[in-house]
Amino acid sequence: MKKDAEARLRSQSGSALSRFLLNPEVGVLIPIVILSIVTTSIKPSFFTWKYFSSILMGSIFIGAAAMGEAFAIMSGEIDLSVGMNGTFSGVMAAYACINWGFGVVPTLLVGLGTGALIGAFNGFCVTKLKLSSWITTLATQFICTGLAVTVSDGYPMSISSLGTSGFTRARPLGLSWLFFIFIGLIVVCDIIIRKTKFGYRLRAVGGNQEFAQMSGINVKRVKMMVFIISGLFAAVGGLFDVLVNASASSTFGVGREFRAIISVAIGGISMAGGAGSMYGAGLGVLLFHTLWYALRILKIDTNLQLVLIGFILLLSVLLDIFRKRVEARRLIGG
Amino acid sequence: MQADESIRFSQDTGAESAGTQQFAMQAINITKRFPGVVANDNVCLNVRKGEVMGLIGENGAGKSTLLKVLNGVYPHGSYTGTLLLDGREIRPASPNDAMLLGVGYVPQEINVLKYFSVAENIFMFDLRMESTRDKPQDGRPVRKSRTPFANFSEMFRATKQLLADNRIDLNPRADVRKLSIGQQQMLMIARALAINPKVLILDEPTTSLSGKDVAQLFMVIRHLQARGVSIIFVTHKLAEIVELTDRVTILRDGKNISVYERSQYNTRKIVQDMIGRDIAAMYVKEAQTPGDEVLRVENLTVEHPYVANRNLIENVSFSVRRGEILGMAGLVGAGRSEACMAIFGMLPVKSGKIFIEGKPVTIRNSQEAVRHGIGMVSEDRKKFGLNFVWDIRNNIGISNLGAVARGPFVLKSALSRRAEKYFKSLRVKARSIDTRVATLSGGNQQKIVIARSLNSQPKLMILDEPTKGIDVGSKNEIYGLINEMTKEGVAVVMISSELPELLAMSDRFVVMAEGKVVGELAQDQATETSVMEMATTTFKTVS
Repeated sequence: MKKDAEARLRSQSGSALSRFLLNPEVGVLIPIVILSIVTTSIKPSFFTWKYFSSILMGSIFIGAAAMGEAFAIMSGEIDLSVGMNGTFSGVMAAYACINWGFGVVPTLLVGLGTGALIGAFNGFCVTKLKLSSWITTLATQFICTGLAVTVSDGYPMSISSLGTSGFTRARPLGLSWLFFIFIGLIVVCDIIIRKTKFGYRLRAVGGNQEFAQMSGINVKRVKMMVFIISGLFAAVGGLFDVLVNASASSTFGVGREFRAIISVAIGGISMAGGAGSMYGAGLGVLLFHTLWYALRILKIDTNLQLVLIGFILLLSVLLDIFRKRVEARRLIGG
Repeated sequence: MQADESIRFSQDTGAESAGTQQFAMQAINITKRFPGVVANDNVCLNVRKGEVMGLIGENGAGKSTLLKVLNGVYPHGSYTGTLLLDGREIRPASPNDAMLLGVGYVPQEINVLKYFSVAENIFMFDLRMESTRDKPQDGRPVRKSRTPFANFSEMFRATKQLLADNRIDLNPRADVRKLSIGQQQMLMIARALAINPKVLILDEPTTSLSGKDVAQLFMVIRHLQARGVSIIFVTHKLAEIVELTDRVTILRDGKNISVYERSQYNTRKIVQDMIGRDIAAMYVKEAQTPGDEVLRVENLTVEHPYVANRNLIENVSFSVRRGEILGMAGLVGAGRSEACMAIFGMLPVKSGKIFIEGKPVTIRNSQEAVRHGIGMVSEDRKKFGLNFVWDIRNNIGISNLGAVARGPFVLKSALSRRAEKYFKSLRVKARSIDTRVATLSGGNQQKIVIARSLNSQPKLMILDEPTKGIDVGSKNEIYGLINEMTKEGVAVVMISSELPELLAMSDRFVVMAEGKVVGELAQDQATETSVMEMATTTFKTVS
């Protein structure tokens, strides 16, 4: 879809610059660049690899949750449990490691399995019990929080016995292995959404559910798959936490779902469903994180930070809407 | 009350009503144009005081347009012509305006506030009109409240009196959710009566009512009539015209065709006036020799999703063969679409059997329907037909991704080739398959919808109102497409509310009314009259 729009734009008149600016991903990049320039001009040390790499490496936690959220939102639903589902999955993995003496691979599988299971439960409630995904996943969020605290007993659970610290501390190309795994996941997600039958069906369901049904698509099955995938990515986020900290805690993923939703929204994924790009979502996460870091580096009062984040996010979404309106005018007007 | 004044006024303004009978409402030479269509062409409607005037006509005859003019949905100035109420010209600017002037309107769809009581439903309506309630009329209580709080005791009392005056059997305190559809309809009428209308417009009030409720409604209407209220009663059903109305006005193609007095009623003549247009050579029909049976439906029953113990369709049986077009005739709401939606797996089947090529099948969702070789074009193009986010390519290609995929991956070039094939063979007028469907005209959008269904290579094609809302040229092209389908051996089930179209295209007919099949007709038996007479059959039991 995105490609088609590009192709059409290319065939039409317009300067190279305006074409470049109308690219959906560029719409997210612009505020990142502006933000970096402003921050650097105030505090030159911001423009260093040290900060840049820590922004990149720090974005993978919300990033993983945002990938799952992107699937949910593109299919026209929402998943408010991506934060606490990840936390609970991490706790379950640590529990398996500590109490059952599982090795690295089985431990990670327990974590992923827990996430997928919670996702399947969400999917069951939405497709079979016909509950709203807002209510369902909000409830699951509470359930996961409670379970995570119960299982961990409120204490951090160390997984140092797995011996993964060498892996997580390694800095290939100045970044972490987990970061490259995350990039790999974005690429896979993009391929799933744009190139597979499932991706087409998911976008059809998100674009117009009745249309999808008339096209012979099993809407319930697609939605079930979406919630399982979302649960899996929630678990990936939770496991990233566990690996980096070498321990699991019930306090890790608090509030992550809303950061994920915001990132996806500023990444240009239509909140109405049916359209968006996974790379855009990834850049949305990057924008969110750059902002977070910049405010911290500029030593802005913590409370004021939240106010500024709120306003800047609104601004970037407005910018995206404006960009889309210009694009639409060109498509129809041409 | 103000009758003397208005008569004097009418003598000043118009020669029309002077010397003739007293008309409660007159619409004179109403002409309403839409881009490309004249919906009402010099239409006149005269309603006498205390008369039930029937208004009848096919879909698209201009009834709704006329009603919207009468009740102010189309404000004065957006049409030409004159409206007189009690001989005095009125110029309603909005429905609220028309209401204040004394034109009550009860729309076709049930429209009540579910979480409120009967009295609140009526009173809430009244709050907005408190300015007219300053002076008592007919000795009715003043309901204007001077405080910001609702006066519940007064509200219940006033409601009780209103309902008693109009012999409507409802409890003012009843919870609207617990009312039956019939009672909700009564509530809507009571709400319209709360303003003491001189004219009450009822737009197909019996569509969703059972026989007993219809009898109740008729009783209320007769009582209103006795009290001097004039009623405009819009319906599709001939039986109701004969039973209830004093006169009937027939519209067709936006024009007045005839007005009959009760003493002149002749159902045959009325039907002829409703449908009598000449069928030009716009229908192209190439008859095929029907082959083996593709679909057979036996005793299909579908429950109403919200109302207990009511069925949308009941014991519907029919079959269709290869290369054959089965026309499903009936009035809007007769259950034709519901029957087809059930076959396509979009509505749950309560009981009954579906056979595809002689084998019994269960179809629980649309995916299974498509797998069994069923394709469907739905009546509602916007809701079911298209994904407006997408371009033409994806809108066509989505119904058969298996044909253009290798493993789980969709090959874009194969998808484009396939979409291009239908794009060309259906002669869609657009720059390329990259064009977004939102920018296409109605006819071209409909071609995309049909292309999407064809893309899944169905053995059975269900076409629900395939030419709804598209221009004559595109209609003609779509008839051509339907012929091509049958030539290739596809069995077609076609629903259309345009009888001439259905008669010209179909090989055989099933006529439905009130969720049941009321008859089957061969091509040589079917005329507009015979189909219409069957379709207006009601199962009403007058108590």
